[in-house]
Amino acid sequence: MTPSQIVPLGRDILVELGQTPLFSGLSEAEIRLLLGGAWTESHPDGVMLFRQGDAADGFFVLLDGHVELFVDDGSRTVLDVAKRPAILGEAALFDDVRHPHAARVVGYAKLLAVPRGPFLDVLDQRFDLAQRLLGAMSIRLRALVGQIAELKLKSTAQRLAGFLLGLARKEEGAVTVRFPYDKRLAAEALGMTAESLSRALGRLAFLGVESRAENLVVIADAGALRLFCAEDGEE
Amino acid sequence: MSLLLDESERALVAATPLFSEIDADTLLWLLDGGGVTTYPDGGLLFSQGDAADRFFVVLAGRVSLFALTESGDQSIIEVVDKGASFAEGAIFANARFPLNAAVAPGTRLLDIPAASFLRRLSERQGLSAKLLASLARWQRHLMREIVNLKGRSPVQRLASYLLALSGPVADGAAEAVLPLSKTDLASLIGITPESLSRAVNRLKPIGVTSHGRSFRIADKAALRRFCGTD
Repeated sequence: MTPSQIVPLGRDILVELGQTPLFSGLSEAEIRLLLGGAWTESHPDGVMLFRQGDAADGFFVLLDGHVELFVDDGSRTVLDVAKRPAILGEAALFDDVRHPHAARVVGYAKLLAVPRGPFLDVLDQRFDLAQRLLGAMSIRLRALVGQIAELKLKSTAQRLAGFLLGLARKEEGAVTVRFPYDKRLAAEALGMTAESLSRALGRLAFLGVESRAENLVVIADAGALRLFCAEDGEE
Repeated sequence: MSLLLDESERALVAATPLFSEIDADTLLWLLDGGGVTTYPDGGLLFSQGDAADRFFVVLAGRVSLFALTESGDQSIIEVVDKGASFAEGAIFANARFPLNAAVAPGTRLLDIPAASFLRRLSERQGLSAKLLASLARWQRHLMREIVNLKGRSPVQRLASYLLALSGPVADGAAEAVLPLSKTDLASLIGITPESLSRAVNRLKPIGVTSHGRSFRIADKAALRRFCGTD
């Protein structure tokens, strides 16, 4: 890892880094201390950041653009197309290892390049900083886990909503439907567990869907439910 | 901990994303002082605001992390399943638990006291960097999963829906009968009824044929690969 041109980290970069999971818990002064040896670089399409088997002498924080990670096993197996704020080349955080995969810029990429030596030295001397990096990272990853659960729940809720609409005889307005069989069987038919069916029903509550006794479900507004079904994954 | 965990549980702990880059011996040393508890009846594990003096790995069962709404209802924020850790963020931050945690009946947890864990982490050079590497890898994994969940095409969503309908048989041929009209199906996967037939046609090369509301899947494994859920 050698800089093509060393540009001292400007405030704009520090602010940007403060928004990445890794550095979100640190002050600008602390980020400067950790990144004493770091620089930013930009690359066009096709540039190899590192090759499989290269000595891992530094890691990267992807600030913009895309980088393809792949294993070169004769045929190229793509592991991931990473985007901001992914960390690449994390093998460099270990003692004396080689990159287990290769990284190639797709389209364009702006990166923060962090040589391992100075970064690891600071981590070893300042456990308080290491602990805060770990804490910030864990908490931000928890948020990603929550987002995934929400996306999964949404797609289950959409499947359930479609199922309910299929039972309804009306396109719009209020309607009451009855599960044709008990909820456990309905869950099976929809390819979900009974538990996720109840959670999905709960998720539909904000649309005015209410579960009643005797397998009845009251839909306040079939039109709204239809719109919810057609929504994309993003909210 | 070596006395308390059997081989499969030890493998489970080693595979949690937080520890994925830590070798087995170091991990045993790092987690020394941890204890294992089984909760036959379930119940509240900790409350929001309690001092975060330990974190946990789920060995069996599940844990719900929840907030309490103003009306006193539980709002579940996350369900933690077997093989995952929780509350580690709070111990790194020397903080209080930000949520309540309830264990399901029969849950078995490894709990790791914060004080000894952090002390050992600080004693061995390079160990926090390895934990960071584990988290960096986990971050990429989670980001990829989010892209997969968000970025699936309508045709992939149709395929997923048919897979879900076709029941629990894992591979091979299967039948799926729509419990709803094709208009509702189109609405469900977020496309117009006109483009539904196009989407259905797009699945033909992957071995999906349809007659009215009945679909036949020649090879569920192939369809699952197409969905990207394999």
